[in-house]
Amino acid sequence: MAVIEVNRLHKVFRTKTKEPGLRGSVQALLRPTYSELTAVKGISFAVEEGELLAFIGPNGAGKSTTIKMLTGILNPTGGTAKVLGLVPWESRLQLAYNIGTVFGQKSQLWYHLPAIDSFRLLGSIYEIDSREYSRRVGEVVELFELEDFIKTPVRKLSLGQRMRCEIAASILHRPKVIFLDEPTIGLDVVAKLKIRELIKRLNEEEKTTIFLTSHDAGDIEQLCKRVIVINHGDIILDAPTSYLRHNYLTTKIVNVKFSAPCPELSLSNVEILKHTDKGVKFRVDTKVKSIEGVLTELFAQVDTEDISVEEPGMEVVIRDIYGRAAEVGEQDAVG
Amino acid sequence: MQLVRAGHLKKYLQVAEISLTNRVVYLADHFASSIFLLLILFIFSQLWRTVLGAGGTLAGLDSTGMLWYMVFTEVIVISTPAYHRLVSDEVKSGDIAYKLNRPYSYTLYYLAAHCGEFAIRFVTNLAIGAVFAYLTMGPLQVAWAQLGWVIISFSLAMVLTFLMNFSLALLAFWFEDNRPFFWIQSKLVFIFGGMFVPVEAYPAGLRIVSYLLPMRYGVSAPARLMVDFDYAFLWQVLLGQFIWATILSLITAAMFQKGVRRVHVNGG
Repeated sequence: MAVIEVNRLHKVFRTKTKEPGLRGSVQALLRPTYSELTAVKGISFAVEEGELLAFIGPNGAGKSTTIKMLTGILNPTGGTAKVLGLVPWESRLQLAYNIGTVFGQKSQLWYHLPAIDSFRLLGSIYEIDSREYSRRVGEVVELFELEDFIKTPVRKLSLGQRMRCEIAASILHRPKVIFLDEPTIGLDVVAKLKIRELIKRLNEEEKTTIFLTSHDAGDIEQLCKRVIVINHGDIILDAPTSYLRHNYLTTKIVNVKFSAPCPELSLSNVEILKHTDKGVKFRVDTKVKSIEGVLTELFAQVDTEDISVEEPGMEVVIRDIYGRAAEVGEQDAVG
Repeated sequence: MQLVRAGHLKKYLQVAEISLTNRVVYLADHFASSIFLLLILFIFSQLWRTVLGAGGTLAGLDSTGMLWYMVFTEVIVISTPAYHRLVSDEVKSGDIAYKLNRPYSYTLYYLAAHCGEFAIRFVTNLAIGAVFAYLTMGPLQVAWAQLGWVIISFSLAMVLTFLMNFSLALLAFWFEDNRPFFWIQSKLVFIFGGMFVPVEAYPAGLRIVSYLLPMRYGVSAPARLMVDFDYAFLWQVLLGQFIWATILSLITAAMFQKGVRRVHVNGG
């Protein structure tokens, strides 16, 4: 059963424009001019109950605008959408009881107070009775491992700890659908892994439908079975994550730090980007050669101190999708 | 404005409580800012002593009454939280996203937060102001038997100051920066709210204008009741407060309904 249904959803922002300088300011005051920006261009898709969907794209692609319309805080310019059978912008308050949101770049916690105070407030706001509230707080504290810092003022938490509290705060009322807007933004590798693990558990253990936006390819690869790629307000790909992984997330950048100087190194089927006595940086296409294969070859030649693997950026993935679409178009034209 | 159902009341009480708790964190800063209150009261205590002398009165108040009157008007004004700034910042940063997708009325959320913060600021400011006025001018003759009515009037004044400020704060939905409107309004409060002098002392024209505006009912009228209680005046004040609270509630609700449809929730 679809819990989110979107049909030709469209959003145009009208913004005031201004020429530079004082003259421009005066002109804007006397004769204001406006420009229109189409943030979302008639997109359509559906999300099934219990699905963990990645909704990805570069900055300004229309991800957050879509989430804001689906949570009822922005009115669309055109099209329709239903979340849990409700039109979000018409039934915002009613819908709010059944959905949760996390905006990675904003905070819902009271900055100078411990997270437990914000939890208590949210318990009242969502009208959770006191016995159920105590049980639920116990569950999320255990699930998100918040015990050590739940009573520490939010301003003193690390970004990773705060984000765990933010997500926990959003699921206190057991939402059926949760919208996570860039939940791993700005986090270090360890904190990112932790958040990913928690999102996965939330989906598996609580059967929560998760609508995840990110421009971190790692989030998508490790969490989601299906991915929708959006760019300039258009959906350019709606496919299983395995399709994205096999076709577009194949290029990895590997950074290796040696334990001892190694001036000579021979690695087949990789593109060496930088090689010094202390380390090497190279690009691998996993369709041509597996990471495991490269590392086996590497370990046979040198002792390593540290290895990191970088995913391709979302911009690279999107460029690749467009590139292949253009190739197919050209072949069709020739054929 | 969404009406409060009995079952919903708890959430707004909780908002008021957390707002009050949050303010306690800043209590040291708050006492530091009370220096301003003491400075103003000191200047006016000297002024009223000189102008009114031993037997003089202004609008029926002697120099002691005038200083106590000012303690209450000042305390109301400086205890009112600056939520116009908060709403403006929320709209600019996009943080309003978290406020709009909750199952509560945005306006009632802020009213509850206002009451919580106002309560603690009012108590601490009043304590400081009252000690100063007592030490410099002597005690206030409190009409203890009628104090309940005065407290009701102060509570309505608290709601009224909220509605006056919040209706302007909502202009952030259209203009993002609402400070210029608030600046004008604060000056109107100084004059028509009778912050320094009871509006009854104004020339006829100015007095009539102040009677017709809401500022007097939010600032001057409850302070006047506290220092010079009179039943005829009480009924007039309560009626004015009730009428203005109703009008401003309707304006605020209409502004929110209209504004929320066009507000841009900024940021990713």
